[in-house]
Amino acid sequence: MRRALLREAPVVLWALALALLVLGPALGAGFLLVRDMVWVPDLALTGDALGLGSGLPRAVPSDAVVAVLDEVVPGALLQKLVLVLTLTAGGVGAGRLVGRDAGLVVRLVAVSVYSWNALVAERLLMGAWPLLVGYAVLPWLLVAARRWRDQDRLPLSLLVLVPLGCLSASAGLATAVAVLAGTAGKGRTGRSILLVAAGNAPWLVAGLLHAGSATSDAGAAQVFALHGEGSVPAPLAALTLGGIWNTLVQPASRTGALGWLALAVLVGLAVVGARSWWRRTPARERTALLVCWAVGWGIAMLTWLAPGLVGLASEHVPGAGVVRDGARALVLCAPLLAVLVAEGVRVLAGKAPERRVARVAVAFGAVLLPIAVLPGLAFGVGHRIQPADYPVAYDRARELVADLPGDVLVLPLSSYRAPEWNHRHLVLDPIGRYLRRDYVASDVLVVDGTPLAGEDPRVEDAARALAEPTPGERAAALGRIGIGAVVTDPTAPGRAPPAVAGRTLLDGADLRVVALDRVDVREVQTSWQVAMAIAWAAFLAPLAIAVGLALRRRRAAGRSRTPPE
Amino acid sequence: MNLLTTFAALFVGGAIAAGSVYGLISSQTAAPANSPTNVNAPAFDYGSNN
Repeated sequence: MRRALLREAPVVLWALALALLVLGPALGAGFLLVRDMVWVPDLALTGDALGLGSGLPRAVPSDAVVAVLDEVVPGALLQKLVLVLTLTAGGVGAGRLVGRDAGLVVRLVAVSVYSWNALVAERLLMGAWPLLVGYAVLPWLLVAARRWRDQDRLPLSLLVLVPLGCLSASAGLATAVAVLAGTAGKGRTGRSILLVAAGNAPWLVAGLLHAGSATSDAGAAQVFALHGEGSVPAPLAALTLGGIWNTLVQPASRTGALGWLALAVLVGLAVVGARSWWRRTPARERTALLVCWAVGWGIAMLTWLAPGLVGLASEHVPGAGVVRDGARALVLCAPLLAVLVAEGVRVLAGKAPERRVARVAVAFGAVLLPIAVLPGLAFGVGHRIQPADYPVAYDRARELVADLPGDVLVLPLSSYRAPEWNHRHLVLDPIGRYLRRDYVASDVLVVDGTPLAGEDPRVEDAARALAEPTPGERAAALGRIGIGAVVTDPTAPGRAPPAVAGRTLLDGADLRVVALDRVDVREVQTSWQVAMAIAWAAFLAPLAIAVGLALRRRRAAGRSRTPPE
Repeated sequence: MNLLTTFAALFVGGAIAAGSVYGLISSQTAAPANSPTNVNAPAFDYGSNN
């Protein structure tokens, strides 16, 4: 036991050190608000979080999970814990994936490759934390699948890992691919399908309930397709886990000579290690990793080669838009890349000179290589993720709308803000989540000045209501679609939204709150509530089964140790 | 030959380690790669393909 701990300690410590280096000053007091990453002090378990809102379930089940957990741990602390644990766990998982019997340097290289790459940098800057949680879970899923195959008994860890890996639609799909690739066959397939269906149930069922609005703007597929990084073409950038559509979050070091160097060195090491890996790895294990890689790279390439086809599917097939951000699928390529690069280092180390000093130098170089080719990932991804404190007005607004009937409309109707109190960094308007009420806010994305249509039909309804000629008529029209309060951010860019009649509860520099007089409170159909209750029960079932089985196995083990009287 | 490979290993390992440290220090002291959003824009760009 002690020996095992000592063997694992360097891997865990290195992964933790890299996580701390990645986040750096971002771990200070306050909330990290960057693009889609919006955390608040106390997220409420609202209808939106449970998948019963009027728009497509974009943050199901992640918001509900956070809403429950932040009852125990304050939101700001929980966010930091999630990020540090995610980045650490992913690295340690990669170390496990190469095998406990692999040498320490080989395992440390796997940690470095998995924890320090373009995908981590770009997704952190996009605020895609549920995807990163899924990314961290992937190697552990593959290790658990290996154990299931070897021991012919369902590992309890898989029952916990699958729901954890399904905190968003994209992460859930990657989790499903990894589980099925790792476990299919010999009577395991049925149980695996049930397990991934349960883990993905909340967003799947919520998506089906919104099937009428679950299609996406066809033009978005072109925008969100896999993209080159500077002079590195998209298919090559994807080989080292880069190629996000948004050039604003591509690290500068990926777009120039260092991008090419990263490609040459990492792919070179992977090629060196490939033959040996093929020879040393059981066929079933190879299949699992290769299927994951092929699906990930294939989806990413499809968005690059045929964005029109992906757009067509997004427009006509509900839910197909999940794959339009092609580079997200590259999470599935990371396990094989880490394993092959680590194996490449093992092969080269075998040819290194016998002198100890030379071997140490090679080991240092190999472990630090991912950092050398992507230094911009350090310190809160180059100081672009900085902690911030919400204005006091946010607390006041939350108190004021707490007991009002109906939902909240957030104005102006633009999705993103760059408030001064958030260091002018771009973030999805956080006020809706802060208020602990269901809310309607714009979900239109603007890319290079071109708006991409949103998916919540109530936003259109609200825009029509705001187009009424007088404040009184606007208030009446908003009331008819279930809006009970209007919260306006006067600091947001663009034209000031039109006035709405009602009681002004707050009129400050940061927020204005107006309560409407008449509201037809939006009712959620009972059938939707039943469907989502079943979906949430399915999501929680693997966790409950894991606890039950763990207790049973423990009791059985205790009985077997008790000597007969 | 053995001396040569030892020297090469030391050079490569040392260069990567030095490059990592230099890169980290540079990224710590450099200004952010992208300046914060243009606050005068009518609506903020979520991202860019350019």
